[in-house]
Amino acid sequence: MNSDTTSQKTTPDTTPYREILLNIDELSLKGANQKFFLNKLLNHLRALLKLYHPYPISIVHDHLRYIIKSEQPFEKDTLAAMSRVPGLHSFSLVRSSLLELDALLSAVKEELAPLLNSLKDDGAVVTFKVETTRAYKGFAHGSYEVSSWLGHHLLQAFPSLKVDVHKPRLLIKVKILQRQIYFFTKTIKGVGGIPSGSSGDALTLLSGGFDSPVASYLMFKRGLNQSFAFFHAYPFVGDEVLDKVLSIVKKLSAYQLQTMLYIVPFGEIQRQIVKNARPAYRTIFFRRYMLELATMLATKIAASALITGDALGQVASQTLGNLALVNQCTNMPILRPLIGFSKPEILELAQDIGTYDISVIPQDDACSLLADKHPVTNPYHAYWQHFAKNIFLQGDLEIALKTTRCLRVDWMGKVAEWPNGADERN
Amino acid sequence: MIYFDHAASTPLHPLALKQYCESLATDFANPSSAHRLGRSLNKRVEEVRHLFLETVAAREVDYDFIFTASATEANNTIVRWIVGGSEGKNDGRIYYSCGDHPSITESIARWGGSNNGRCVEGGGKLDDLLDDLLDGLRAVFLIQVNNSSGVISDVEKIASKIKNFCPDIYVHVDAAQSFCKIPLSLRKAEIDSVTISAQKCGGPKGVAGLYLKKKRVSTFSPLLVGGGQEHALRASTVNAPAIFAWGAAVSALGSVSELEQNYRYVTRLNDLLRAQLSAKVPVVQFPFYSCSPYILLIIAPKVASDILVRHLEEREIYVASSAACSSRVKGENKTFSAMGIANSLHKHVLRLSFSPSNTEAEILEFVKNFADIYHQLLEFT
Repeated sequence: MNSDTTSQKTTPDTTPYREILLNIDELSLKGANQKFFLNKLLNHLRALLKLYHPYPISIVHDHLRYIIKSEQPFEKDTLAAMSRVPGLHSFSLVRSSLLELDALLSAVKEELAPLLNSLKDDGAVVTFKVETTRAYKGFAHGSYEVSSWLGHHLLQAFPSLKVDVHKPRLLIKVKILQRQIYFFTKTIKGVGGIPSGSSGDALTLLSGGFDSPVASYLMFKRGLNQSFAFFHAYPFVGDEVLDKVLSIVKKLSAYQLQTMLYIVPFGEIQRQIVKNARPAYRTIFFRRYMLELATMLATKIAASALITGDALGQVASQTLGNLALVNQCTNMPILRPLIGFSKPEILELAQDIGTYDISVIPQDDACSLLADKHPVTNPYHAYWQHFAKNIFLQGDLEIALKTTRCLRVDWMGKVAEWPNGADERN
Repeated sequence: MIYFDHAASTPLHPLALKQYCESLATDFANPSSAHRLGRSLNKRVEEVRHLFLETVAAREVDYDFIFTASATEANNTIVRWIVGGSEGKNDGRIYYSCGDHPSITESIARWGGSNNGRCVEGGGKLDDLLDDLLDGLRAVFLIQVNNSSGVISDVEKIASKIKNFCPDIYVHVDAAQSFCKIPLSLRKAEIDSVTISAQKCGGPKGVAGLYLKKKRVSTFSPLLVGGGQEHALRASTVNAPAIFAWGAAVSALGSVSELEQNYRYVTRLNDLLRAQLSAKVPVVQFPFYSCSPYILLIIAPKVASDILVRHLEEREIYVASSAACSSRVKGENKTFSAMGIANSLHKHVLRLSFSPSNTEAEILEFVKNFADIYHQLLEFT
């Protein structure tokens, strides 16, 4: 962490920016609930900054826009962490000036000078454009006026500049708010959606595959706080898959303040199913009991929905028939954000969120020994009911829940064993 | 608990444990120190050295024996010197087997550059192949007992053959799995160097040894230089407590009578296991015979070995496997290929290894559990 408070020197990890303008997603849609969502988002940001940027900050409100200000310049790590805060559409690294054109010009010149020096090394002329928006209508000059005035003076100050209104190399955006003018050239894309926790809590069924982490990410965007459940089929699979799952959870834990991972022992239940069920039904019975266990666990930890990575038709257990049957095992809503996605789309998202490289590691979470060669795609309902009624797995389910291991992963990826995590939390 | 992985590591011999604990407390000085504490430790280290030479009938006029930290270090030392340098007959090929321990195969790959001639890879028994290869050989790396298959090579006979043909050809023997288990004699002084390991014969981890023919010492290139310890052949502070512990183990296990008695006992265990397992689970294959009774490699078709290992460990039975079960990992194991095991079976190999501490009851218990698990899993497929 850069602790030098007086010098202007920046290390490779610090940016020269001390102010961040927030673009909050969907705020206009919220109406009367605006304050609720805003508070959730700002609290999330405050907690994040406390961790990543432990210096005094202030969150300033100016004409419906929010700006974070600090004496200390922000580090790249902090900005990266902010880009994973649900509810933030994007944020811009800004400089502010007083509400007058001259002040604006000198601030812009100061900002541009080092920037141009680095760009000029190409030898070529640098094209630019000024775009002004005037949120505060009380300002003396109109947007277009400000853009032309600023553009004109910048051309005079920097001979290497040239105007290009179609495809400028440098786009200078100016925002005129009520108390200050802000301008910027850099905007960082965020997650968007609605803030973490504003939609409630859910339990996500995580495998080590590509799909479930992407499903989780999509639901973070909709403001769901998530705990994760992983069904560990030891001794049919080994312990190495736990490392893989933990790596995935660490990546996903960046989207909320605190994450719990529940590792549910599933080997014995699988053994019972394999002993008693018709081979073609093994996979959907595994799914069935996973969902039953997930429901029991979700109830205990006060989650109100389950999230899975199902996509329609991707594998045999994901036909309409199978999905419908499996839905009957729980009265909790099962959210399937990937239901309409194709595999390439899912893989692309997995790349974007950084879970692809982990999911691709060949540690199976399901043992190929137990998989039937021809899993049923259109299950016979009567057999399904018959199995549930006559093969009593309730005792095994309860043991599994009792021996579930709980890990807590914090924002920075630190893991701690959390005994009693799976206990009643209502 | 039933522990059948002694080839990987075996518990400390009770006398070794006792000695080690005592030494850790009292024998803390540096044997290279000039004062009395150091000198007395040094003297005792020398006594243990004599013991090791005696154990393999090596005459002090013929051989040096130095302590290293591991058998891997000892093997690396020899390979680096011989293969990486110009010892032995110049510009000749180097013979070893791909089935040898990685500390041999990997180090040869690492230091056997193109200027040292082609390394000949071979599988199966060395004796048969040797006749064709003797001409143009620079060095031969033998392993007395293969750590995976348990196959025994008659290293004394092979060394004689090689030396009769050309005394300059360098002969190294890896005896990590055979020391104190299979007889080895350096009386004839035909073998140039031998590697042994403490933790495979009741000694502690962190110490091992290298016999080196004195005639070769003049051209020897040490791996570690510094304080001149071990007759300037291997610099490092000598690990007195570990050496004394190992010495205690070897004085118990190294005598000819002890060796033969243990050999007969473990042979009985091995035979019992083969018989019982063949009866209860007939599909299990035993690809190797005339092996050290201390090691037994089996192939369990249709069920991946790591699933078997996990089911066995649930019942506190421990055996070795090397396959990683994943539908995406190809799993061709070079060692197994070199030993002639078909690719499709590489994920089905288990290695059991014994010590005189194992009992017949354990063998029977193992077979019972293994059969139980195997049949259960077979039903699932």
